[in-house]
Amino acid sequence: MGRFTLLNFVLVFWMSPLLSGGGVLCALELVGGVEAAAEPESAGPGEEEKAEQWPLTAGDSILVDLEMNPEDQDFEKKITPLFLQSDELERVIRQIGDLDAEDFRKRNDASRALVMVAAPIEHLLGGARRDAGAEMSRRIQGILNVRIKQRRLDALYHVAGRLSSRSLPGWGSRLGVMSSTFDPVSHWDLLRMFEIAAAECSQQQDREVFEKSLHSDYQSERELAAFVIGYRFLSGIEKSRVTDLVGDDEFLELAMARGRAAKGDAEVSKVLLQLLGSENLRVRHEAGILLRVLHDKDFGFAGYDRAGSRAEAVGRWQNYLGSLADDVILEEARIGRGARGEFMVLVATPPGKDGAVTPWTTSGRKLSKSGLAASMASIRPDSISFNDPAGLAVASGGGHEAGRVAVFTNEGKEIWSASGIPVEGGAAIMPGGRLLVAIGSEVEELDISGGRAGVWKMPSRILSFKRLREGRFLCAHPEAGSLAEYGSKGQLLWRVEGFDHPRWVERLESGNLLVVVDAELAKEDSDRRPNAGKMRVIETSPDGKVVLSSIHPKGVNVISSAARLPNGNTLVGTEKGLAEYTPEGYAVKVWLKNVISTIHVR
Amino acid sequence: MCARIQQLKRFSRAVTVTWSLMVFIGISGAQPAMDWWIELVAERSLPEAVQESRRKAAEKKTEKDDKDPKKEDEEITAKLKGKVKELLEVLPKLKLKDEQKKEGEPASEKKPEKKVPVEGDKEEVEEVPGKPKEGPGGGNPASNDKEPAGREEQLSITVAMAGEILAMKNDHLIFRPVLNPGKELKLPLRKISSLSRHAPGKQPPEENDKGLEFRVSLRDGSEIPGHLVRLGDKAIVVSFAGSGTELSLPLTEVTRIERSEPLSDAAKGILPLVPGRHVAALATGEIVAGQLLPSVDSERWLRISSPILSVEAPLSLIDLLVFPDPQAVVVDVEELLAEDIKVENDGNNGEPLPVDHVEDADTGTDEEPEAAILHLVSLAPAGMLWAKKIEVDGNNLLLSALGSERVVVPLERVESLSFGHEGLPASAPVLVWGGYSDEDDEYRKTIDAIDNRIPARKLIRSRSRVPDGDFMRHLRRSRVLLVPEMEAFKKSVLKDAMEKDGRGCPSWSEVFRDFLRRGGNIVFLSPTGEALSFFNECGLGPLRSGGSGTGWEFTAEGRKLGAKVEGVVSNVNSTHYYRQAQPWEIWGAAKGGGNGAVVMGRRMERGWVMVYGADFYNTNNASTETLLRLIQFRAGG
Repeated sequence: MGRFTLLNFVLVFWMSPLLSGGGVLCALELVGGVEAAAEPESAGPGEEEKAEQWPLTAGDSILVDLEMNPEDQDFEKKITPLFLQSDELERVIRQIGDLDAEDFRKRNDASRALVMVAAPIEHLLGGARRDAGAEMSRRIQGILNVRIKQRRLDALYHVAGRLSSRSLPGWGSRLGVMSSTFDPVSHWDLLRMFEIAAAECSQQQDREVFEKSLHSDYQSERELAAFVIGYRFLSGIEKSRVTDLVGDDEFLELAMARGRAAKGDAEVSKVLLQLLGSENLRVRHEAGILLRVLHDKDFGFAGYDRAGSRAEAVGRWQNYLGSLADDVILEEARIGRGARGEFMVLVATPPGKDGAVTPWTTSGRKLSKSGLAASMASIRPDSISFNDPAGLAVASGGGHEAGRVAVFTNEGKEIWSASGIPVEGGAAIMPGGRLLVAIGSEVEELDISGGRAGVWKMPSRILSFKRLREGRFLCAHPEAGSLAEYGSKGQLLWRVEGFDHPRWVERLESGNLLVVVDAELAKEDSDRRPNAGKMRVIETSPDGKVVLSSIHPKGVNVISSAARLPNGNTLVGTEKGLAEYTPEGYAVKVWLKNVISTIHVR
Repeated sequence: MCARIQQLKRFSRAVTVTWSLMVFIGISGAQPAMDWWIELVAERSLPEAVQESRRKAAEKKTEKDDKDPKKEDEEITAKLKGKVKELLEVLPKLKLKDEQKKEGEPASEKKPEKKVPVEGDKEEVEEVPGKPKEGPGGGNPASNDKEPAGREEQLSITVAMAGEILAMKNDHLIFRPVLNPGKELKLPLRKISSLSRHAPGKQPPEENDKGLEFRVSLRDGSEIPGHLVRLGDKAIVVSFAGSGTELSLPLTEVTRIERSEPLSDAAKGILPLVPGRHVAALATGEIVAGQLLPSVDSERWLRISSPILSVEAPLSLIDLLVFPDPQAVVVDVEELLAEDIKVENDGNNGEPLPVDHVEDADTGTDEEPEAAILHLVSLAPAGMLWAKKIEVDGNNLLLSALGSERVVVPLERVESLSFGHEGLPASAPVLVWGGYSDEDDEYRKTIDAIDNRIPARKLIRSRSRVPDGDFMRHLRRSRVLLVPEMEAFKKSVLKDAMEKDGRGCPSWSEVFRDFLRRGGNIVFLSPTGEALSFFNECGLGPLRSGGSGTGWEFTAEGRKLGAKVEGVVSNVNSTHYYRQAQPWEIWGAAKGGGNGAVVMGRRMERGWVMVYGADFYNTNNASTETLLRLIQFRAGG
């Protein structure tokens, strides 16, 4: 037994660098002797080695730009102003209210004060603007004009990523307060980052604070607290009390389950299975994602599917979970793109001096080079889609008669391409190297030699065809005014109608849809906004039935694509250029003034 | 103790899990080798959407063409006359009323700006009229419908994929693609247009042939880099660069031997042609002409002998050795000269070649090789071979080439393989010369237009301003010289370049003529202004700008190009017309019978000079198709 163990030990050390790039196995590598194999204690200060695994990258450039370099000694001190304490938050909210005060001086003072607030409050201002009168709206506009360029929200996202890697004590509650200012739907990605950061930074003595936060007035704060409890403190709480903590609130139950899943707690599967049957769309959708990620299995469940389809999928999950051993070990499961906020934006423009595809950070800084972007440039893409489990990307473009589609590794090596195929509606890759290309109202299945192996006949023209996940493909039907998802054999899985000529669609990880549609023109000339654009970007609920927000760029005829950034803003590509908008539709920054073919955030 | 055992058990379990996980990661992460890329050309049925779109476009064109062309011309003339009249009336009044007319006057003339094409507007595809019907279930689950064979219209696609060569034999290649490593594809060679170590569209790295010493060019177009080992009566033995394999090359097949980096200036240019004679430029600076013979004393030396003199030199002193065309007539000048100076044959000089009263070779005869399947083997870092058969045997490539049934080339020395198509020899490279073109516009756009349709290995790029050694080497390998619009050309710039960098280089005129003499084709795009003068001064003309038309179409003679372009091709901003005149064949003439032409060609020496009045700043399918056909014309591509 001892020799066998020793042999295993030696082989682990010897083989680990050969079998992988090292990155994946770093976390699994045994360090030291037998003691190192014990279950890790709850995280405490001193886990500085985690920070070394995540060196400063191009995406962190925003931190450097704002003089918050994580490698500096006083990093913690510098990031403190980014987080509002409770009293500061109250003051900010009061000051926002004062923008509409009777007293002119009060209004002015409030304007001045709000400009100087160090923490990101643009989302609060944007939210207040919705119901504001003309004067208040104008004031908010002025404040935003000054503040918006500083990109503090971007910095906050990256700081949260750093906090989760550094596990700095005492930051959990600060994150809780800050999270309360964000809307859980429009800032979904950011709040997922907050949750894990808060959990990593929390210690035993913070437990009471989080239990209290479960009763906060703000949903985001309640969910964050539930996450932290599920991640960090659940083992110390009696099971009966757990039910009391979350009560009937399914969102809290889900948040706690998120925390448990992030810890790799296999027991949470039963909870998630139950949540699959929730009446609430967001709850069942996220529960489905968590189960998939936790078990690395997909039984076709989608929260927005018809009840019958959902029930069948739930049945498959039940069978599977029932077959598992009691002591099954699961990996930690985190949702939200980017474990620590590492993103890249690929922007495709018509061929020019700089090439057709350029990489950017999510803060709007152009990156110098990317193998993937350089390789994709040869395709002149107007559609990019990734298959992350396979580590592959598909790009298609080139127009109606002389189109190209190509498959790349994530490092940018082109491994397959076809020229002369009029791929106008997008492409996706299936297992076994088969390509699906959308042409007109057909989806053709190409075999590896480019031959036509099959065809899906669709009811109408398809645009924005892309792979969502294994066995699920999303597209828009502009003439039919619908969005639909199809399975691997072209069978319809889900559809929603009632859109005005949808020409581009993406499903966010939160389940919401980003859709480019024709803008409705006001019936009366007097109601028409001057310079109103012909298209807009809307975000809808996962079932496509409720419009949650709308971005209507001015003076624009064509919107080619849109993408959600981790800070909650949306990039919109048009024939005029590429611009970033807040969830309220306020233009933050113009990134490019070129015609944009397509954009992709990954 | 128990705790210890518990710990050990946990440790062992953890290790086992870890080990299994690592093996799994290792297996799933391991990818098949990505050593090679293959390119296949396949025909497939035209998608419905494209058929529909072409149908609509054809209908639109028919409607337009239905108008009486004469009437249309008359209308245009009348409109023009009217406008001129108006202008004449307005001109005297302009000074007085200029200020008043500033406001609200619409622009009467469009500036000839070059528009950036707007992409991303997907509604350009015309909608099917009427509300589309929706089936009850949406998508058709019968997904394995295959389009019925025998559709009239086909679409030609090119597929490229990375993978590993497993075997090559009997005209088939067994290939394992990276995209589906569980599959082994058996592909007929005739379906493969190229097999390369580089992804299509990617420039292979610049050849570093400094260590190659010599390059031997053969009559079939092969080029062998290596060291000259020995010279015999009938063959020269070359040690193949990088592997040491010795190849025996028949002297009757050799056209030239040159050093990769010539030491003497004489070898950098074009040597005088002496029919029936070998001409050698030595590293010491001498140029000698005569009959190539093996040296009496050493197989590592050569002898060049004529009635007047005889030279013996080590093979290593050769800078350039040009072999005569076997059909060339021997000029008996030497005999006359020898007689004149009464040179005696003392045994040191070779016997003058007998006067051969064979009639002059008919230079107008079509010397295209017989239709045969030939494959191009490009070597790394430089060189190429034409082979009749190719097989892969382990780490070696076995070729039937160079007059031998079995030539062994290590696979690691092979850069790419390009397989010939039935009935035609494999196409040779195209040299795109943009020395005086706008790099960011016409030059790049011309390449962009064709690089999807011509394999990367066959597209050589040069921006040399003078015909230096590199340019000449590229040109010698090519069958087609493509010259994008020379927008940046000025005679003064050319003169400066030649003075600065072109010392010892031949003139452009000599370069073009020599290329045509060797059977190459030249395609000039839209020469105008000073570039047109350059064209004429190089002796490729006469060519003059001509009257334009409202569009142009292929003539009966032009249809031999085989371009899939129907009807009248509309003008774009940059369409340029030339005067129809002898000796040009008119392939694309102005519509309506004017005297202008857009596509013309003429035979010169053993090649063709072609002119196409398009600069490719704006590209469309018709212009790309036309250019490709010009490139492929008589090039066997």
